[in-house]
Amino acid sequence: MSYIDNLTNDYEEILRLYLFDNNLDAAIAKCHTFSRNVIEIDTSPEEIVSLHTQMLNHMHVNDIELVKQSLEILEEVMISFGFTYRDYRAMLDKLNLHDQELDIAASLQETMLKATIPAVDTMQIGAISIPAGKVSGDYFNIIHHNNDKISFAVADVIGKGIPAAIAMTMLKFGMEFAHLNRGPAKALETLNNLVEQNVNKNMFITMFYGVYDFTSGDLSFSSAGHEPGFIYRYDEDVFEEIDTKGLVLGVRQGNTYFEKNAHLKENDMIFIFTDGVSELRKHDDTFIDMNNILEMIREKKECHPQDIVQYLYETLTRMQHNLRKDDLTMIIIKNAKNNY
Amino acid sequence: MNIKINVDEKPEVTHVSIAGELDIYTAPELKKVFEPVATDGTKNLHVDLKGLSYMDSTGLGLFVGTLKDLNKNDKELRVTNVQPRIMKLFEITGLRDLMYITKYPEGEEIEK
Repeated sequence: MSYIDNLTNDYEEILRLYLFDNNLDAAIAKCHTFSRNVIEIDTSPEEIVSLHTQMLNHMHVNDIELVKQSLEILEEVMISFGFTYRDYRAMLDKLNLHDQELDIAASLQETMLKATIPAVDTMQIGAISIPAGKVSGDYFNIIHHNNDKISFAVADVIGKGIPAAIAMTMLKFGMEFAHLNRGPAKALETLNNLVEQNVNKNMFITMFYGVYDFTSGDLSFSSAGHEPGFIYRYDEDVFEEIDTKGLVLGVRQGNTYFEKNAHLKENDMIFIFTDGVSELRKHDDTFIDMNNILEMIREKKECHPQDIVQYLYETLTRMQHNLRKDDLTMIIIKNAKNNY
Repeated sequence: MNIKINVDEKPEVTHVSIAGELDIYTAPELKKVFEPVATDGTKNLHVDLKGLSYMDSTGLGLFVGTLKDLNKNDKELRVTNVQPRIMKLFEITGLRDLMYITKYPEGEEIEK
């Protein structure tokens, strides 16, 4: 006997109890179980009405009074459908609200958090940041100070929606006010204390923070648990990994960070990115090999960094698993002294 | 994208072993297990990750939040049998230094 046959028999039993045995309580109790079962297998209300008519025929219920009484059973079953429908509406309302929240977060990111790429003769910058969904967990910022230096940062905020967007706003203004002369490590310390007090306990931020002098080619950098970056050495045609060990932002108040220095010669490039790039899942669900990405940069080493990041982005999105998309962010800064 | 969670309650410690993938989709399920232990604060939490093949940053965030709650009550979070790819995540983020953690398969202990 199939599940449907069982349900048909159950309904017949309910009608019999109610119409012929006058056993009201038993009929109503069975009614509730029956409603739950039919809703569970996605039966539509019209199918129940049709079953009701079939049953009346099958049981030869012709008396108008009995037919009227039988409608009370039908009503009892339909009450559960009403509840389910109202649940569904409530869920839709919730989803709408959630969507509105995402819209607010997305527009916050688009307006407040946009970085302006500085244009100077001795440096070329390429930057791209594309969210996987409506709202990004990635953030980058480049600030041109009123001298020969820029501060740049790439961050991955763990957590989504409005809290993540607010955390990014904190990073942006924190970066504006972090005193440049104190260097990247001190800047991360300031940001860490700011973030630690304000984010919820499951949230944290990884961040690479660099200060680059585009006249001298000197770079200082520090990292709060962010993916290591690379420097491409044009003359030697090699990639150097650059990293300093450090705890992610937002976990421990008063944490300190290390700082390192490097020097960029002409046509050397700094490449910083988020884990959406380095941990990219391919169509076959395997991870991308970082060497493949570096090879793509090498191929395009003569190009402007904006063209390189655009090329990387297009190639990577073609390789990416459809259901495993992550936010992708990349920055390339090139010492372009000789190009002018 | 599945996760399998086993919980074994002992008088002083809750043992949790996790298999499968811990990501934005499966983290809420694990959170339901971690949160009561962490906020209750009467037991240590020992987590075996031998069967865990993938963890994303949301999963890592769950460990961070759990660690913060446990620390408030002077309770310990131990993470053991961590697969190399996941260990790399704990290392890069510096979180390795905040908790007792061992690798798979050597079971080698890493100093706090």
